[in-house]
Amino acid sequence: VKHPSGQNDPSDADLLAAIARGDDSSLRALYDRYASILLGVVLRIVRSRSEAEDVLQEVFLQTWQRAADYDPARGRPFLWLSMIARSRALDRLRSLGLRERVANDAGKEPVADAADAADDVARAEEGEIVRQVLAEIPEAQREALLLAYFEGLTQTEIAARTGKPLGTVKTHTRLGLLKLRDRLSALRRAEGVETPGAPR
Amino acid sequence: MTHAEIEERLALLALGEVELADAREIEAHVAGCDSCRAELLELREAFGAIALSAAPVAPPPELRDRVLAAASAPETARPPSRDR
Repeated sequence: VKHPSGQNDPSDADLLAAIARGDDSSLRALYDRYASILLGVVLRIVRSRSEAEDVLQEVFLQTWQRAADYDPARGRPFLWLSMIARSRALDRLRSLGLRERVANDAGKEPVADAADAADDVARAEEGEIVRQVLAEIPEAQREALLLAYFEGLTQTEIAARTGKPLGTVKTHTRLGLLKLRDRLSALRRAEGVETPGAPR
Repeated sequence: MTHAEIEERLALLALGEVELADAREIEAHVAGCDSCRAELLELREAFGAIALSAAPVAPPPELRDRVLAAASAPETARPPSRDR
C-alpha cells in the first residue's frame, strides 16, 4: 500500500520484512499505522473494550513472532494483518461463550461513519468505498457479508440465523462480495495510475 | 467441475466456506488456472476489506507500551533470523 503522506514512508510489506528480521521500530511503526483500525475491527467482534485491547495486543505479538510467514502471493499485508485480528477476535468470542449472546447484531449494524480516524489516506479511501458499497447493496447481501465477517458464521449458520434458505444465503453472499470486489478492483486500478498524494 | 462451476464457487472459498471435498478440487484447479487464482485473490481481498467498515477506535497510549514491552520480553523475543 502506498503512503501518500510521504514518499519515504516504508510500505507495509517493508515493515513486515523488517519485523521478520527482528526490528522492533518497524513493529512500532506498523502499530501506529494500524492499531486504531484493528482495534475497531476487534471491538466490533468481541464487544468489550478490555477484551478487545487484550486481543489487539495478541495480534501485534503474533505479528512480531510470525511476520516471516507473510506471503505476498496470498494478499496484501493489510489482509494478512486483518485476518489475524479477525480470527483472534473470533477465537476470543468463542472462548468467552459470547458468540450466542451477541447474536443478531453484526448483520444489522448500521455501517460506520468514521472514515477520518484512519490515519492512512489510501486505507481511509478504501474504507469509504467499502462503507459505500455496503450501504448500496440490498440489505440481505449486506447482512450475509457482515455476519460472515464479524461473527464468523458459516453460510449454514447464517441461513439458520436469518431463516432464509441456504441457497439464497449463498447467492446473497456471493453477489455482495462480487460487487465489493468490483468496486475495490476499480479503485486499485485507479490508484495504480495515480501519483501518491494526488488530490482525491 | 467445469471452469464455470469452479468460478462460481470462488466467492465462498474466499470466505473459507466450501466443504473440504469441493475445496480440494477447487484449489487444485486454481493452482493451475491464472484467471481463477487472480479472481480468488481479489475476492479474498474484498472479504478482508470488510474490516474497514468498522469504525476505527484509538487504543489507549499504555497499550502501545504494553505491546512493545511484550515484544521485547525474553519469552516472546525472537532471534533476528529464523530458519524458515
